[in-house]
Amino acid sequence: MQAPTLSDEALKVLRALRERALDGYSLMSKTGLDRTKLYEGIRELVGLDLVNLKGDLNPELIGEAYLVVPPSVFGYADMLLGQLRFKRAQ
Amino acid sequence: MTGLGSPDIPAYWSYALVLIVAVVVARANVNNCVAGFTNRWAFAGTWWLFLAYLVLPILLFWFLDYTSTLQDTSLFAALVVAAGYRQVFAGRIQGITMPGQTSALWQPFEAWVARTNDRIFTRQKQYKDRFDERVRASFTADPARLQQFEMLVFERSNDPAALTATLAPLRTTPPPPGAPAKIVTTLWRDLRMSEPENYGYLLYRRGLVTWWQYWRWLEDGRSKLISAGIGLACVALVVASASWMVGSGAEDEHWRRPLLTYHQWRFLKSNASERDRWRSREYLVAELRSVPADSGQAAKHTAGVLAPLIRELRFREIAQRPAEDVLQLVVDAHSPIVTASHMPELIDCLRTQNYAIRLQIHRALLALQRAEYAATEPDPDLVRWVPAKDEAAGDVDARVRLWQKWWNDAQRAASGKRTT
Repeated sequence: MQAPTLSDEALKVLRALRERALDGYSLMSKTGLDRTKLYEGIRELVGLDLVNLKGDLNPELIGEAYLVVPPSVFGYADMLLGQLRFKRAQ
Repeated sequence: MTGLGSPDIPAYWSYALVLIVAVVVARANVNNCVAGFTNRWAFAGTWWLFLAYLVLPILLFWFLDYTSTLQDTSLFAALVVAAGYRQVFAGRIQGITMPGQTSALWQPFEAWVARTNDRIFTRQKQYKDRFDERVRASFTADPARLQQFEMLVFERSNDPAALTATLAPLRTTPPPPGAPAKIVTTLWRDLRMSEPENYGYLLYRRGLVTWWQYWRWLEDGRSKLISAGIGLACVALVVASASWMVGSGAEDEHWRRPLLTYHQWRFLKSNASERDRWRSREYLVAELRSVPADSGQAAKHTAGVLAPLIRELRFREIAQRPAEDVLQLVVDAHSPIVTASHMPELIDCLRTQNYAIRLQIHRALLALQRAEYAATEPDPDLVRWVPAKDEAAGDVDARVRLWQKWWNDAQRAASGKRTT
């Protein structure tokens, strides 16, 4: 199966969330993304079922959202992040 | 796994070992399953998960022993099951194969773990929202606190000019409907944006939230409190159990009864290892040889040791090996007090439907007669009797009555001997 290619925003969000559950405000601070970019990254990950979201998926209220990587996709998430590290090393 | 050369240790040590390793493994598994939540131990779901991960290897270890996949006295088997039960379920450990479809039980368990994770996620969000709502409501209700809060937000804001511009339409005269709540929301969002990790600490330092609120909700205080409470409760339970065990009851120390029951269980266990069987036999023989001097107490003590074992002889499907072991124990441990206490029960066991066991009991009775009551001969017909497969119930009953008659005679002779 071909692994999806994630955008930089989505990868940043995924890396931050793989450590622990975070709200939108903390994610903005950790990833350095603004509301719009964060919203796009989260939307991409939610679409791939890589993160669970509580709250509104809305650029205005994205700071109030609470997100986590579910344990069932830990392996998949690690693989995607590992591929990125491998590409960078090359 | 049964063929693996492993030290054979008492089963209670194996189960204790499984429990100790399971605590460590369960903690690691739970921390991994709900890794996303720093205050994970504040939720009942996490503790249920921990308990499940703790109980699972113990049940699996018992089940694998019950199905003779391994032996519960094997030190290596205990370590393998305790540390690698997930691999056991997945069938990835050579020599340990789960019987039938039992390995499929892991899937509902994983589904439950996912549901628990989701429940914790929902609760966590609720708690965060509740904290925010409570603090914001306190600012809306108190203009002095709101002023202090506003000062803090402006000090920390990434863009104070933009914040002033956003607040301006809310500060007109007369103010728009719901203005105080909207002002607090705007300020709150700005603070959260500029200080996403430290906003709670800053609010606490300014006296806008109490230390208890801050510690409880933002410093994982609930998690720490609940973990400490459960830890203390466990320690108290262990101390109370230990002190009860070493204490004495009306008859003897409390630990003796569970230990005796344990050895009776092991002695009757059909798939016990030879060493385990030997350990239990040694214990039971020692118990039978240390009977109290008082005859009433001695009879009670002996009955406590032998009655549950002899009772098993009545069971038609009892395996040959445990039945032989029980009868050998009865014969080997003979003494006037011990034999007298169980003879009527043993005679009654002749009524078992298992003719092979009936034959063994009959031979044991003859051996005891020769050892303890040689002066009283049983009926010659009884001595010649060989229990057979298709023996009628009436014939068996007649033999039982002959043995009972002999026992009455033997007792009369023994008491006559004592009085003279």
